[in-house]
Amino acid sequence: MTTTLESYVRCMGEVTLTPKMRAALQQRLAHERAQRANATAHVDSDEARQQPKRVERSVHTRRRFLALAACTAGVALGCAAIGSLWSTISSNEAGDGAAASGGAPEESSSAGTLAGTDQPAFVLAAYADGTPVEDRSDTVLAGPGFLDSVGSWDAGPDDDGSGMSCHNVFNIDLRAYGDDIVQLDYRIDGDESAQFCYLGSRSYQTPDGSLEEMHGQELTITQDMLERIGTIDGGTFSLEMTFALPDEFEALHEESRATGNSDEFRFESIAYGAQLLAGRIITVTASFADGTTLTHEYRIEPVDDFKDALARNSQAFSASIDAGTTEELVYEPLFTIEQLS
Amino acid sequence: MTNPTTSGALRSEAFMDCAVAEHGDAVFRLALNQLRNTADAQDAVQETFVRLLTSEARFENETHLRAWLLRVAINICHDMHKSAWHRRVEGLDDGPGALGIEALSSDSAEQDALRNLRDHPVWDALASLSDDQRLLIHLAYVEGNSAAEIARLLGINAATVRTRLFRARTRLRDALSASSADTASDGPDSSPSTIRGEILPHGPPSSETRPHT
Repeated sequence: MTTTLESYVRCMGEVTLTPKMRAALQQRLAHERAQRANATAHVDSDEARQQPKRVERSVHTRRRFLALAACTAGVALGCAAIGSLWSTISSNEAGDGAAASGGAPEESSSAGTLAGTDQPAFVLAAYADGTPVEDRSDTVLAGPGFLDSVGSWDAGPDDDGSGMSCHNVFNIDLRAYGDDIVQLDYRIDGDESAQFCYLGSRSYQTPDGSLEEMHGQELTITQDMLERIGTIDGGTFSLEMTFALPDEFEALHEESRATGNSDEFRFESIAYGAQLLAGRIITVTASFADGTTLTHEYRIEPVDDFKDALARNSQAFSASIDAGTTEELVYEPLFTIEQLS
Repeated sequence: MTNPTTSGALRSEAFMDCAVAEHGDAVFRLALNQLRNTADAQDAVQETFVRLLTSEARFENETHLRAWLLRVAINICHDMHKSAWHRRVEGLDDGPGALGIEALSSDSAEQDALRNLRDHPVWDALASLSDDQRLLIHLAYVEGNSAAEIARLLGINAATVRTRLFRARTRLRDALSASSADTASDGPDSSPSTIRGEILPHGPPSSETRPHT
């Protein structure tokens, strides 16, 4: 006779991780690999390697100040971090920036003067940390973490045999530098092929208890939301793309199946998707504690050698893992960002 | 069994894939039993396998690896219970029938299994047990460990396990009886009550008869 407990044991035994949970777990592990690779590189680097990195970081920091100053007349030094998407510009970094840039004391001083004003300011971190593009004053090669790696990818014939499609997820750094920000609203224009999403293990739960998917062409991040997501999650913000592939990809797909190597198919299909992002505008609106709001628009473009750069990034990641994560992992930028307003 | 060979090295993808495939479900079930919420359980699973990824522990065999994973998961669940986050959401998520399966977006066999679990009278009754008692019930009956195995896993002696397990069973039986009485008092249209006395075997199953999950 089956007892109640045996029935329960059988019932519990049928509980398994869902495919979505498994995918999230795999992504978390891949993320951890990348993080550890970077962390190890920073710890293990010798002084000779640290020197150029320090200069590079200083340049980025300096640019962060300049970007903030360009965005608005009001810049606050020593901004307070109020969440994972709100980042601090520390006084140490301010010092680095001044030291690295020759004339920076004046620039820093200028920023300090502006800090005396009350007007709020912010800038997308990936723009502020980007590398300036020659002859294009408002355009940068995106900073680290902004669409420079693909968290997951799958592509092939549709189930109904009507054609081929691709689904890939870019990691995206959505942080903004600024002071007293209480909410950030993001929007990406164009069709639904590109959508922001938050890949974590829990859905955002609203104060009334309902569950809310953080997925769509618009995304709102509040401090309250970050607290509700929790700190153990380790989820990532991403840009998810779903799009049809033209017929010529069938040959690449067949080749990948025949050879067992999907690299070319993968890189080509992701590069095709990147072209669908060309010219798209990401609008970011920051709401500040004093009730004011400020909006910036950023236009993104894939770099000219997108596919080759993507392949190099992929190889660099694999190599860093194979090498036991002792080499510094630095992805090449795959997109430029132009600040429109 | 592949183990990392150099200090600081991460485990290979093949090793991790195998570990997740073999033991991911067991870790999830244990976390679900302890945290009683799918989102929290998923967090615990992720943390457990991240620790495996970076751990330099060496494993003799799959059984050793499974025990290590469950031990780590137990600690993580314990830490999560203490966290401010869990204290805040516990009241929302730990009620009868909650479980958080609404967070799963589509119908699936996995979701059906969670629904069945949520609707099971033992699931509700387990809510009245302490975390440690619930853990013992899970390790003994769902995981199928002997008292000696549980003792090794928890770092206590086998006699203590038997004593605590006896108390846990008693409390579970009482909770089920109370639940049965409540159900019966609901009226003639309510579900059949659980009959006291047929609920539990008198000890953890032996290694020969344990269910394989």
